Amino acid sequence: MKKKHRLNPNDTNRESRTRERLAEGLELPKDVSCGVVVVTVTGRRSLVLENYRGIVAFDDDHIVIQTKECKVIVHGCRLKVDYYTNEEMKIVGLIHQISYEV
Amino acid sequence: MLLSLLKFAQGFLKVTLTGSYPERFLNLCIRRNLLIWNLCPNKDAGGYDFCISLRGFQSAKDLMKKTHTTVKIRKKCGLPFFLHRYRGRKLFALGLLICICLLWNCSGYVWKIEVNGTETLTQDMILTWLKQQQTYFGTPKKEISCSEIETKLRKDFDVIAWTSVKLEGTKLEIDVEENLPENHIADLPKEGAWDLVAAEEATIDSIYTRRGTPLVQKGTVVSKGAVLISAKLEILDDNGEIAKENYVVSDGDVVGIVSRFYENTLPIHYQKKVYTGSEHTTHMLQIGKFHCLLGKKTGAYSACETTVTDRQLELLPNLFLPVHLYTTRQKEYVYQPADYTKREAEAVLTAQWDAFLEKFKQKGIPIIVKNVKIEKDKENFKIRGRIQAKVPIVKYQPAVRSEGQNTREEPDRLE
Repeated sequence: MKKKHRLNPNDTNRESRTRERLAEGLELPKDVSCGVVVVTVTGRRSLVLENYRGIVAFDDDHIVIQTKECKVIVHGCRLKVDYYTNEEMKIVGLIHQISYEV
Repeated sequence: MLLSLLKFAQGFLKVTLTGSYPERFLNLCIRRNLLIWNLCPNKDAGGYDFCISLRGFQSAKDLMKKTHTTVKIRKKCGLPFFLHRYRGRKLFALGLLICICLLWNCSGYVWKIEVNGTETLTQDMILTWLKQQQTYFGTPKKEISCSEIETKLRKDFDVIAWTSVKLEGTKLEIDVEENLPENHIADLPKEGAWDLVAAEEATIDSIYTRRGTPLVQKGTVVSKGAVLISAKLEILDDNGEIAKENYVVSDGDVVGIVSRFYENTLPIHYQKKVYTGSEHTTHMLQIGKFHCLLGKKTGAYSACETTVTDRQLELLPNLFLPVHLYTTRQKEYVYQPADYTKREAEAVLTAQWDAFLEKFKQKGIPIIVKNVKIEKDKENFKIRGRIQAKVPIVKYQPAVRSEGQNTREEPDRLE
């Protein structure tokens, strides 16, 4: 059986920093080059997320979404996912707060 | 909208997802590119409610086993389920198909004709003319040439100055513009010697001579038959004597101030129409040439006022169908002897007087003076009025030639 090679966290950080520098040097958009999350908020009632991994937890008043670098937590009330695809998701409801958790 | 239609056409399910870790199921679904929408938590079931396409649900069945989750179908929506539900109702489907075919067929004919802009012409005159041109209710649209109708309308009706014919849906719309009322003088004779004479007694208000010799001027009082513009043209020699006389067709505009008298009587005693309050309404449905009476037949009253309202079925804007609903409303009345009060009589007589004045306004004749008086005698109310209006007062009359003069007719005439 093939043994999985686990990356050292320091190596991962170094790789991501290198990528970031490269993207900055080449003036590439970070969401394409580094896969960082894109959050587009329209008013208080609509939020579109791109570059995420999946839903971690979902309730009426909060949604936790796992992204490559961190967790995005959307607080609000009567929250609902309008659509959920591999590319993007749209959250509707009354949004109170958006926070990031490493 | 388009996406909703697509979802409906493909069919989708409203489901409730429960299990120990339902979020994993959702994340695995999107990894397989399955669309999930209207996702919201369901606290009672301890899971999530969402919508998923029928095909997506079928391909996600193995994920349920893998994630130890259960999916409960709440509702099946969309065309595949609709067709499956009504698969036994073949006659209904056939009826629907026939209905669509009939509608398609009906939309190829004219079922409504609208005439706008007529003043002296009536809608019936235009409709009768259209019937003669084989363009009527039920004529196939492909047989109608709008430009041809426009040309023929202008040709057959002199009063029409401009017309526009267009087909919109199953409606044929005819817009016409009529000529302005003209103060026509008598038709100009082509040749000969013709005087212009007064058609009635008047005071001359204006005179414009185009051809001939004017014999009157502004302010002249003329009697009926007096020559206004003479056909005789006198050619003078160097001594100021008449050398020659030419006779022409005289031409010009002469407007005179004339008086018109108006008199009307209204009997004091009359039969007043009193409504009894009894009413009867019936409906009649007409589909094509077939009539069907809905409700009881009318005609129970000996004397009644009947109003018929026609409502045509308009499925979509301008898509009229040959389905009419006629509503007949009858109001019963009886005649009772009554007397006009002074105020009532004045109102009736004034309305008639206004209608008399309106005729002049429609012809474009200016009224300069108007006097009216209402009197009452034993039996009647009487109205007497006099107006002074400016009207063309000319008519043609053959000219009387002078004897023993060197005369000749002008060969050419001004147009």
